[in-house]
Amino acid sequence: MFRAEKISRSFRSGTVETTALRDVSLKVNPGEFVSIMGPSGCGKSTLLNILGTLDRPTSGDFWIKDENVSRYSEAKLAEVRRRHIGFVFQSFNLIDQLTVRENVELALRYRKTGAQERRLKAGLAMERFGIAHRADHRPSQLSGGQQQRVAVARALVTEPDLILADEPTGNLDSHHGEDVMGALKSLNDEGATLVMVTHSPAHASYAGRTIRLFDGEIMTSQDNSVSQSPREEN
Amino acid sequence: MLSWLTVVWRHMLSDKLFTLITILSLSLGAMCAVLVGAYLQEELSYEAWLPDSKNIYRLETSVTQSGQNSRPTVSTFYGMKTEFDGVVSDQVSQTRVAYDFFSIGENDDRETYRIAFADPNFFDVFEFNFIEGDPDTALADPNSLVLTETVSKRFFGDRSPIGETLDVWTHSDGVVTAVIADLPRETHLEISVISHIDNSAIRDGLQVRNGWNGLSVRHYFRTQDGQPSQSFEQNIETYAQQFLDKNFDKSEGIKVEFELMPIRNVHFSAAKSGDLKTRGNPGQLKLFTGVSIVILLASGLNFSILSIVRAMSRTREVGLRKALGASRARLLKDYLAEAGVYIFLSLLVGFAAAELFHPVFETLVGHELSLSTLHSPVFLILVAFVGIALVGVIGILPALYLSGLKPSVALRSDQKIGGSTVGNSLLLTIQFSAAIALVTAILIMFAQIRLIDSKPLGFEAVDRLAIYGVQRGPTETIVRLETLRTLLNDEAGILGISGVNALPDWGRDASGLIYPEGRSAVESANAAYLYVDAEFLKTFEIPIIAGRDFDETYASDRALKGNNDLSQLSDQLPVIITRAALANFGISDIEDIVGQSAGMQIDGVDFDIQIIGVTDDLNYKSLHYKAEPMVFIPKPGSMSVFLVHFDGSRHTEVMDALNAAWSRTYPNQNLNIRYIDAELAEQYDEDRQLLRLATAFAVLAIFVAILGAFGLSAFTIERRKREIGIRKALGAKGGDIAGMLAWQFVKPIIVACLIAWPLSWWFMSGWLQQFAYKVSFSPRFFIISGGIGVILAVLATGSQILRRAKTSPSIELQS
Repeated sequence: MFRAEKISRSFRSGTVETTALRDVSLKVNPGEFVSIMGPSGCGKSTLLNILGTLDRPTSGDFWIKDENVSRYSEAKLAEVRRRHIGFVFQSFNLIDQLTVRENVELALRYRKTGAQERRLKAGLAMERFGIAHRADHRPSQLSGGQQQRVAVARALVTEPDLILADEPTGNLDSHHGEDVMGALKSLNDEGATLVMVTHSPAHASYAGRTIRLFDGEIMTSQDNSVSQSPREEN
Repeated sequence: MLSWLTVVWRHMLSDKLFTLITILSLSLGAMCAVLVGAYLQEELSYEAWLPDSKNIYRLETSVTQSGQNSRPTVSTFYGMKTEFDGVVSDQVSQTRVAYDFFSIGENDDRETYRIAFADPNFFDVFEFNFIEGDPDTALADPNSLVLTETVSKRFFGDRSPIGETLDVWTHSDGVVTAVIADLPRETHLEISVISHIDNSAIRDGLQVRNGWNGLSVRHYFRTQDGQPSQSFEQNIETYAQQFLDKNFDKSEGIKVEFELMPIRNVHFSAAKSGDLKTRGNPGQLKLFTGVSIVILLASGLNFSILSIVRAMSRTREVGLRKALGASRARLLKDYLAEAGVYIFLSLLVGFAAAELFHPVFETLVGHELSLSTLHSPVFLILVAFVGIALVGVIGILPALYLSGLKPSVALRSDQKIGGSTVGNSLLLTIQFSAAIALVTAILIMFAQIRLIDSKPLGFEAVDRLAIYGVQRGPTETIVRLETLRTLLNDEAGILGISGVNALPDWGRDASGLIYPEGRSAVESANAAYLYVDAEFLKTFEIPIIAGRDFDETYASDRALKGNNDLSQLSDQLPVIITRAALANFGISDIEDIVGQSAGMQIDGVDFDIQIIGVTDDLNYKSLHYKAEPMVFIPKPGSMSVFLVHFDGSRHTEVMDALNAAWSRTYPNQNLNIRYIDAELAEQYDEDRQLLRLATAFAVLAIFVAILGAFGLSAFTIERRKREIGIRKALGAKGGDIAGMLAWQFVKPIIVACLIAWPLSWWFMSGWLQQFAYKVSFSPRFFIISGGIGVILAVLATGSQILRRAKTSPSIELQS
């Protein structure tokens, strides 16, 4: 379970202080799929960074299972990320000097997973997202949709407790966007916990719950299971 | 490991410009360091090849005449050996060697060598590598000859020379008893032929040489226990003084001191009279080491700073790696290892370049450099250590910077991070400081060498040649010179012939005392003297400014022709002095000095002189020294070289005539000539060599700086693309943009000038100290070097600046 309690995050630039998040409390249960929506600058990415331990809250606490990680050092946070978290980014963030396989394996390397096991797990993940035949290509040789599927494969290959997706379809056309959403949904169906930031209400409806942020605060939290299923919508 | 290397390799390929610039400059730095390292190792390993060299000492002598500077020499007195028998024991052995030039060979097949005449136990002290023969008996007979391999090949080809004969000039039939391997360069000894110290070629000369002329042999001791014991040193001192008491009159006011010099220290000890080889120059060694370290670090800086600047394009990668759970320590390790790959690859390239370019470096340092130094395991280990140190010094900055990026910041796409402007300016400032300092130094050196080349010396050196090896007995030498003169008198192209005891470039430090009539030697002043024949001043075209030149129609001018002994003079000896010697008499009007009587003392002998003429001042020694007071003494019996003034346009005829006359005057002896102007130029060989090396270093430093500036402009201007687009959209013209960008690179160069100028001023005033005649520090040296720095910086960055200035803003804003 992931639990944020009254977390705030402010940034200082010279003498000007901007508050990106204000007293946000949020609980994500295992197996849940939560989407976060809101206008530009409302604090979505900041919230996601804190959930992903890429950033620390200025105040408030963030709990992963029974650990309060909000005051952890940089080194300990790196370890938390290794153990618990997988990322999918809007701009894929694949390393172009690595092949597809090496990109997928990268997170396993940091976990000091043995070479054989790495190869097996990466192979399965690529197989699953239909990119195994591209294993020895460089990311730049792939289409956007394929690249994002590589990123998704990389996020799940470590079997993280939480997968964070920051506008995963933002750089994709609608066809490839649906493709990636399908992949994420199927992960969730198999029990993975996901938190996704998105601008698209249609993609948000893949999630079980949608949180709307405005000006650094949670406005609404809506259970999607009582509304229309996205698949019926299409 | 392999896959990691593959990834680093892909990184290198993906940014070819960065890879090219950093590897090129780092390998240049490495090449420079490797070559200077090899040079350094060689310079510091003098005598190390000789077995037990750390236990071998040379006894050196320092003679101080009353009121004069001491004259240190590498020689001691021939007769001292028996005196030292008391110190020689099982633990200590002693041996002597005397050098002299002789031609050896058979009939007309001859060659002149500086022959080493040594005691029979010479090889107990110096364990040379014997190819043939037995070191214990090689010098048993006075006629023994030990040849080096080269000399043996010269006369006997590949056959064994043992038992063959070669005559030593006309004195003795030498019998070859052994062949030794050629000595390596790293020794103070000069050995091509060794004979017995009692060989009749020099025996009489050595044994009759007494008094202060007796400083004629090099005396070596070899101890067994390393450090000579205190009692050994004391004994040496006691016995040496005993020898002096027996042989010299203390009342002459002469003080003699002895010093035991470990031969391992000879190469870097102060120059002394009798040195056969150029000494090592510790200052120059330090300078080269310093400059090559600066170039290596400057090239390393290219890597450091450009890595940080380029890090901008890698921030997302860092963010991602961190998001995937890489700790800072892990990334630090990765980026350091990556730096290691660049650095070791560069070392490898640098090493190969050093191998490739070492002949060029050899030309620059003026001698061969043994490549084996480069291949020795010690050297390779040293290089590996330097590599690791470099990873620590220049790899740490970018690694710290990259690994320290915050993941949440690094992942944002529109970053303006990477490469502080302070760092960029620092790169340019440091590199251009080194380059500008070197350029200033070179400009000053050039000016100084031009000054030396153009300064009138007071005598004419062009179209004069010196003939060596002419000395016989006093009367005999005069007769031979006169024969030669008669034979050549009517030959076309020969303009004059004379003789003297020392040539300008000999740096001979012989001076006597001169004092006005009625005073004594105690109240005297120093004056250098030359023993000349009557034609000397005419041959060198030294103008008389008062009085007359020597003229042998005067009986007084011939006073020493029959009897070459100053102590036997019955009348005043006519001499000619230089203007500088006037001060010794307190006379300012040169006409007043002519006809004055005075006293002189040379080597403890007092004699009366009369001044018959005055010449202008002469720079008879190199321009490192001031023109000193000089006295020309008509003592032709002491001539050791003949001088020939010839018509340069008829060189071939002159040489034919000279050869013909020579073979009639000195049958059985090779004609051994040197051109005076060439010899004079050689006095500045070291200075020119320094200039050549400094130029080479400067070119390297400039090249590294240009690479750095070019790389910096390529990466930083790229980063300002959007800003430039916005400025253009707001109405900035191409020229405004170019000016703004150029200023960014010129500013640090101005700071570099402020660092470089005082540095080069300080260093060059030290260097100029060694010249008595020096250029003054003109502002133009500094302005030119600064200007060169600015121009180079603008040229290096210009292409990038112009490209940016010309691009359409719509393209820039798209990015």
